[in-house]
Amino acid sequence: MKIKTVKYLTLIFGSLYLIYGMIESLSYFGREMTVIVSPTGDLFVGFVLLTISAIYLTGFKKALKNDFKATSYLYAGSILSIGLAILALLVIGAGAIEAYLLKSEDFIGWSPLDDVTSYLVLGLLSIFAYLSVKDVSKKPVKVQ
Amino acid sequence: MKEVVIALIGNPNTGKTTIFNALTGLRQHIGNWPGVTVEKKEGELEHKGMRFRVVDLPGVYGLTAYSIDEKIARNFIVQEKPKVVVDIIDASNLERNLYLVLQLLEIGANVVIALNKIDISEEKGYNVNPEKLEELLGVPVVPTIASKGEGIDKLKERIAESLDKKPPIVEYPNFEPYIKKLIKVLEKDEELTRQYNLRWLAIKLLEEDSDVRAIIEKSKMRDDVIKTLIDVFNDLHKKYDDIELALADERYRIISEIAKKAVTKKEERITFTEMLDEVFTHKYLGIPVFFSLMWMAFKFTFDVSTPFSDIIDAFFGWLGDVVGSSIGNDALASLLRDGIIAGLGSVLVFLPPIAFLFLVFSWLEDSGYMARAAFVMDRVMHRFGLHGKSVVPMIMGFGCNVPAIMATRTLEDEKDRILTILINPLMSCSARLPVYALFAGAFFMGREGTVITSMYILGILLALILAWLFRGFIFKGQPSHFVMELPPYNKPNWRTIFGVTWTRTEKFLKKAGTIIFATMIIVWLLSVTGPSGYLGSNALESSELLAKSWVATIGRALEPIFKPFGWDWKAGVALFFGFLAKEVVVGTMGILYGVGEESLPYALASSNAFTPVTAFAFMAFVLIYVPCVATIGVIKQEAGTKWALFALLYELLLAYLVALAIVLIGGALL
Repeated sequence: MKIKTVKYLTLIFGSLYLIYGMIESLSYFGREMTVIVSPTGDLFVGFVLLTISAIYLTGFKKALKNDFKATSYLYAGSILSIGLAILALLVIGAGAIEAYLLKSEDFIGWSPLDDVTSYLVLGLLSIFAYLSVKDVSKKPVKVQ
Repeated sequence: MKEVVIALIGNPNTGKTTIFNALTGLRQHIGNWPGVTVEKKEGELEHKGMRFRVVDLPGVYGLTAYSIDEKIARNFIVQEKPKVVVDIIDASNLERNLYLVLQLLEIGANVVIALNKIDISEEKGYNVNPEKLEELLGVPVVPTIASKGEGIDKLKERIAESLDKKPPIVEYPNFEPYIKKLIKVLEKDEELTRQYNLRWLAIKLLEEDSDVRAIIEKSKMRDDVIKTLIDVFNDLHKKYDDIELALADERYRIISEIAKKAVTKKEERITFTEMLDEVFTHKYLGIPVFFSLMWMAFKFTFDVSTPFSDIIDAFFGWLGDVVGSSIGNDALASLLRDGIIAGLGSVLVFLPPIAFLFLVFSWLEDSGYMARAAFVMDRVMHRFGLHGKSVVPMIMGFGCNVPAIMATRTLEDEKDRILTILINPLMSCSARLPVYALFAGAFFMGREGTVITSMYILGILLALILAWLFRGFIFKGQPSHFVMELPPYNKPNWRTIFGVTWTRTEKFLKKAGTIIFATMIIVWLLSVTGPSGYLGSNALESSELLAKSWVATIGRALEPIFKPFGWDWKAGVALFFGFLAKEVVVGTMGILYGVGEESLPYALASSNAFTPVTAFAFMAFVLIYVPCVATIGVIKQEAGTKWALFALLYELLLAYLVALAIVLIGGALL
């Protein structure tokens, strides 16, 4: 793996998480902006997305300096991103139980698409970031 | 068959327990070291017709005897003189582990080294040469990978071969003349010569070790030793400001030379643990990552557990209807339906979120992240006058305050310990969760996760502020620093995780079946009876009748206290009974509002007894006011009656002030 790849991936994911983190945070304060998926309106979602963005962007900063530790930020960032996506999938699963098995009143007309969140989409995309870094302990990053 | 005693020692997290288990199999027994509650593990090992008693010593970094663990380990080696001391050293962290090896050799222990985790050192890009290490140290070195059982048979062999070997002497060139001078005087006492390694005594005298000093005080050569020691110190102080430090430097110099010769670095490699630690323990990113993970944990707890709560909810609703309609006696039917089933149901409906919370926290503990959380928060703790070790009981407090308060026993300093005990009830235990979930669901629909997380953060902030105040006014002085060992990250061991989750959840179930159950009956009884006698089960459906009950009498007596918050008397009664266990608050409300758990959030939201602001204040009050009876009991046990009363009073006062502030500020803003 080349440091150049780390540089691009951390920049792309850092920027994506930054944009969606800001959208989620602003939506909490009443400013709605829908880009692909509607924001959740939860301030903490914004906080978590901005945290992940900060991780990726710190990695980008290190990659610019050809520091092999940049990989750590890509790795940890993608792990957190995927973890968040798994959480989103579990929430959808819980919604499906409510809607289709328990037939809860609150879930009448519910569809899995209703619970598709920005962090689910970004988390699924982060699988690409993770795949690029998952073997880094065996194949160390090339800084030159 | 003759039994030979061997000891296992090593730094924490070197794989000592795994090697102990591999050597002894199922033939183990656990007790406590005499006089202290530190676990003592012993096991048996048979090899080539020999029987060994294997004693697992506590994990230590050195043998300076500053901590109880070091004292136990050192005393065992010095006094029991095991035939072989197997030192398990982490090949991926060789230099730090060699410090203990040198100290063992100083004592004169017959050391065999298990060079463990060689796979991890390979992963890190290091190549440790066991033969070279053996040659340099002069003791047998056996490479092992304990997690895969590799090298254990070889280790047994080398232990058996080493039984009567004489340990090598480690020389400290800068101190040799002084050590020899002291040995010369010490050897005049035959008793000392018979019992101890004189070289070790001499080194420890140079380090001004108090235990060794006490040994010398009893020696017949005491005066001569002290005279020589004064001469030696006079000489050494011309060269060094701190002799103990200079000796440590000398050890590190030797270690560094050994490591340089025995280890070759292949290339710059990074392990997954290092990669995660680079971020999770980052100076600036560590704390937001911690809060992000906490939010994810709570999101999982509440959102994913909801369908399971709904199943329990539906079951109790059905049970209440069936029981209520099939029993003719009004009082009995009401007791079962409105008292026991509704009350208990409204508490048990929170079993899934509680179990999910325990599950996620067990997973975080098992993965190794909790140690990082403690490490990351340690810096923050210090700023607020708390000892770094206070973090662990504080995090444990999220589960239950009772074991968390008992966990403060790991703090050596009494001031640090009491301070940690006093602020621990401010950590939101799982019992507060039902109250948060109820009110967040009723008044903050769609933002439950954020509101509930804010309660946890409020508790942490208040605990830190109070710690800072208590440190400034009551427990004056600075908390001491400590070195924390970070274990490597683990793949989840689901068996362990589910086991821990069940043990903790079981406690909640037991509480639900005893304290909560009994309180629910009392609340029901006080609701359907009043100064005029039995009011009938209708009291739970008619506010007019309920107003004539005993609970209403209690509620009205409390009303003036809670009037500034805008809560009704039912809230006062719920808080009153919540003293027994915080879960009771929800159960009591269920009974007083005359509805099952399913309808309680709607009943609360439509009762006009609360607004979002006063509901938030109520949640904060539940978070802060008196801890449950069990917590007060354990504070009394651990810190004494004075501090238990102090905790009770300060928390009541603080709860009142915080709730009032929320109502006033929230009212002004909204």
